[in-house]
Amino acid sequence: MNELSEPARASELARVGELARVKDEQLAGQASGAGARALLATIVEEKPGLAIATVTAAAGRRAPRSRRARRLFAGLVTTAALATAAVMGPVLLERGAGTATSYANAAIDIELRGDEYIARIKDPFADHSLYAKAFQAMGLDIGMELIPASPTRVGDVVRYGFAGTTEADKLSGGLEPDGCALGHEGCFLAVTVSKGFKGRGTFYLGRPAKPGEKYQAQAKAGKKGEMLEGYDADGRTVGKVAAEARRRGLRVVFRIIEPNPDGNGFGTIRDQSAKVGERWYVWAAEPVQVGTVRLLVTEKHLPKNPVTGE
Amino acid sequence: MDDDRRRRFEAVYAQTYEPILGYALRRCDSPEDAADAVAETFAIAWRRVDALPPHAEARLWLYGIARNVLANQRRGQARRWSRSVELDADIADLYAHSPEGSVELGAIAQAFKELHDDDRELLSLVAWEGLDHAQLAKVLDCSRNAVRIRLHRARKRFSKALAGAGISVNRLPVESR
Repeated sequence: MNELSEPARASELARVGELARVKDEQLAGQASGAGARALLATIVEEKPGLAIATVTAAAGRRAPRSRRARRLFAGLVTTAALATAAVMGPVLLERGAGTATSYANAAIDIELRGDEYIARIKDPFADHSLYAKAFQAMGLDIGMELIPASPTRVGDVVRYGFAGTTEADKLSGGLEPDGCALGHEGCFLAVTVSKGFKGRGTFYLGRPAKPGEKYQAQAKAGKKGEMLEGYDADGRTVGKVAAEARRRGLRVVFRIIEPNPDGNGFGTIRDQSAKVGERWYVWAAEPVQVGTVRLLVTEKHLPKNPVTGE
Repeated sequence: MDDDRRRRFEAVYAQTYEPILGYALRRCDSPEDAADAVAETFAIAWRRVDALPPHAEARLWLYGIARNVLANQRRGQARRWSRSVELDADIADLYAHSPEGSVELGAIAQAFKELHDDDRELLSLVAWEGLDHAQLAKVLDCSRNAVRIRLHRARKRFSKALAGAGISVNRLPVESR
């Protein structure tokens, strides 16, 4: 396992870990549950070597191939879409594609251009149902949630959801034109949906935050365009970083973290009541809301940054 | 003799049901597919009960079977099990409790989903099943050296995909639960 603890890459495995729908520990007790016992009983009913007969007999009940394939591609790991899919499922698959080539309401414009629908969001603060209505009018089952994002995440699709889709069904999104500044004329949040999109798609798109609204997607605070632009807080003392933040008129909040025992990644400690001192260390600075930055801190100095792994 | 086999199988079943269930749950996007995969995996194991390795290795052996079962499912060649209602109910419950991920998680999931099947499976076996190189070599039936090289490449490709999706690696706080 030595190769796995190599710091520079340790984190993408941690990312994979976060995608797990359940951990084995959460399944404790399942083996003695009714389902497990019923299955065991069915299996050992047969003499070893004969179990295959039972299985084949049941094979006729298999769903048609294309349907199965579609379901399997529907985002092997996009857990978030599951709940929705269960409710919306087959009904929407039957509904078929609309024939309209454009639609507009107060919140959004949608137009079919070549092989894709292009949707421009005219009002990023509109009721989400207005977006859905517009997509529906085009025969598309697309949900769109605009979530408050720190300035440089505005226009980012921070998350997609797919259900009942195939690989041919594509979603993308961003700012149109690329890299423009929202609020300037001719700059829109925009998403594209492939023509003939089947199943359900969901966008979570970063929009500007309203005053007092917490960001749900953020970049590093030191990034160009963010509140601590050009300032690298990582590894500095709380005293220094807080002084810089105050100089910029920012409010500072803290989160006390501790590195994982293997040195890769970190967790938030449960008890956050300790008074953070000027001599504590900052390992990351994150935008919380307009005018507020959160510092991820530890009391002791650490040999490497648990947040960045550097 | 048959009683002997049965006892051995039941012991292994009791020990491995949860990890195999976990393996299927983490890879199947519907409870039906997960239930099918678990049922099929253990049915095959029962069929091959004479080849069942001793305790510690049974789990790895079953991962290998489950992997093939899921590959067949993906190719649309899965057998549909006439499962018990109890099993369906238990597994459906587990899906119902799936937590909503953080906002950024979906983008990571997307990048992960777009990886080649082999890369994804390799990374999953490490991150989800917690296997080391020797264990991976057993499940994938290849040399440890091959595992090391393939894992290195898979991690590199995933890092690149994450970077391409604008996700800065190691930025997401791992909250303690």
